[in-house]
Amino acid sequence: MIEFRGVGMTYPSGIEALKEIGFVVDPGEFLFVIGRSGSGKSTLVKLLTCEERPNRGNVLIDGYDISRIERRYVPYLRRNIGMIFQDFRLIETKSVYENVAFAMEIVGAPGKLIRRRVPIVLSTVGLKDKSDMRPSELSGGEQQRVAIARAMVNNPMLILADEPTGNLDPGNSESIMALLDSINQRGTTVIVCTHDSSVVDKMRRRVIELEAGRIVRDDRRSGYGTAPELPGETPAEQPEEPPFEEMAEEAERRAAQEKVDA
Amino acid sequence: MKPTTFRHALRESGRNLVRHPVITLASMTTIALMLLLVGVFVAFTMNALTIAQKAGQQAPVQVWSDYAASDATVAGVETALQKDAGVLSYVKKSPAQNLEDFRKQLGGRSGVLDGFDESLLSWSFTVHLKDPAEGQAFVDRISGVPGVRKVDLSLPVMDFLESLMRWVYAGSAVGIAMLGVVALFIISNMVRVAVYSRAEEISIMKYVGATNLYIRVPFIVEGAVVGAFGAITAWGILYGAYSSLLESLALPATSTFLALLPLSSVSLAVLAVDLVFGLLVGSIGSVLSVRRHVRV
Repeated sequence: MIEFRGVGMTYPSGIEALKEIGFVVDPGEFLFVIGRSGSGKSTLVKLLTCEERPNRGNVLIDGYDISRIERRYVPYLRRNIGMIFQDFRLIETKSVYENVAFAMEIVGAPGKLIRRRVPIVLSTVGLKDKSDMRPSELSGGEQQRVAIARAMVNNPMLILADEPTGNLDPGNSESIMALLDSINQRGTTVIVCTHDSSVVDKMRRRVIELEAGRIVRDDRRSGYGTAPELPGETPAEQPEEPPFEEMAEEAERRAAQEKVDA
Repeated sequence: MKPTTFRHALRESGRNLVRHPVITLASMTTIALMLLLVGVFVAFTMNALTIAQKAGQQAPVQVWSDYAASDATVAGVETALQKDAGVLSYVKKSPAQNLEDFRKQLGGRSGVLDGFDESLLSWSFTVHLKDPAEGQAFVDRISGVPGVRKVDLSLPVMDFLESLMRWVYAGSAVGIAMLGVVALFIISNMVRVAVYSRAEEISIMKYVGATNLYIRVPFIVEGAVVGAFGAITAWGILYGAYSSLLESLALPATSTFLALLPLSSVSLAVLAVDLVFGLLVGSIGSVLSVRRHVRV
């Protein structure tokens, strides 16, 4: 569970990015954080990854206050958070396989496990045949899928996506969000910061809207514009074992169905 | 850090060296050039010190025995010279040999020595010392040996040679220090460029959960490898150049004080200095440069 408790953040320049915000994200929930540029979305992401520390309040993950965490433990926290960025942030000199594998190498996973899991995860995102290619040889959508594969390969408790469709066309945006949705269906908490109204409207999940650093809306099942709050659903429980094999099989079934339809 | 994580980090350093060939080559070339300069200066300094030392040993000290000294007395003086730790070598001359030397010095006027009684001359020892700075101390020691009548020491010459050696030592130390600082600065900058070119990669690794140590280990290893290769390259160039120099100049045999040091002694010293310098600067420079980029 993620909890923001009276969190306020003012940068050294004097800009007050967040003003005493508070909300709770249940395990397995899918949350959109929307708002205009400068509303505080990126600051919220930075607080979750401990890139910044709040001046007031607390940020808790599973009851542990990460806003007071010692600097040397921050990498271990980030290993439980899969980050997805607008600009993909893949390492250009590594292949697709290596970009995903190094996330496992960093946590000290044995070589055998890496060689077994990475191809499965790449199958899940539909890029198994492009393992040896470099990021520059892929399309934007494919690069973002590699980023998603890297984010999920260590089975994190939270996927945090900061404008994941910002550099993508509508078609690719939809497939990326479908992928995030399927990850969430398996029990991983997903938080997406975006100002892409189309994906928010289509998916109709919980929406927190920020404006000038304050929460102005928190709707359980909503679109980008104001909508009446509907009763929320109980989020799926997170399974104990990584469901990568099932996800890969489902991805292959979906790919085969698309071929038949075509 | 877990052993598997450490192995992954080491493997990463090997991959990075291959994956960034231009930066690797540029770093290696810069380090090799700077270490070549350091090596040249080390070789020059070694030779200068040796020549200065040998020059100091050229100035002789003349030891004269008592007039009409017995064989046993002369043997006693000779034994004292053989046992003295400051003596490099000596040449013993009898009164007859000394008379002959006087005749040669006089040249055409040597006739004035016709009928001269050679027993009026004494035995002499032309002594070469290991260290000209020890001249006065040697004089004090040998003057006390029974049978020694007189010791001639050219103090101004000795002082000059001693002063020369001190200047050569001091100049070498200052030169190596200055060259070392310049080399350190240039190599560090090159390493910084190499790290900066991968700043984005470092920040991505931080977001994914890499610890500072995991990020630093490959750079330390890469820096050390690049430094070592640069050192070996510099040493190889210097080895070839020095051996060519020895052949082409055809300088006097090693026993004279103008001779250059043999290749084996110079090359080992240069290799040692270059390797230590290259390894230290390469790895430490990398660590210090990476620190600036690991704060995400």
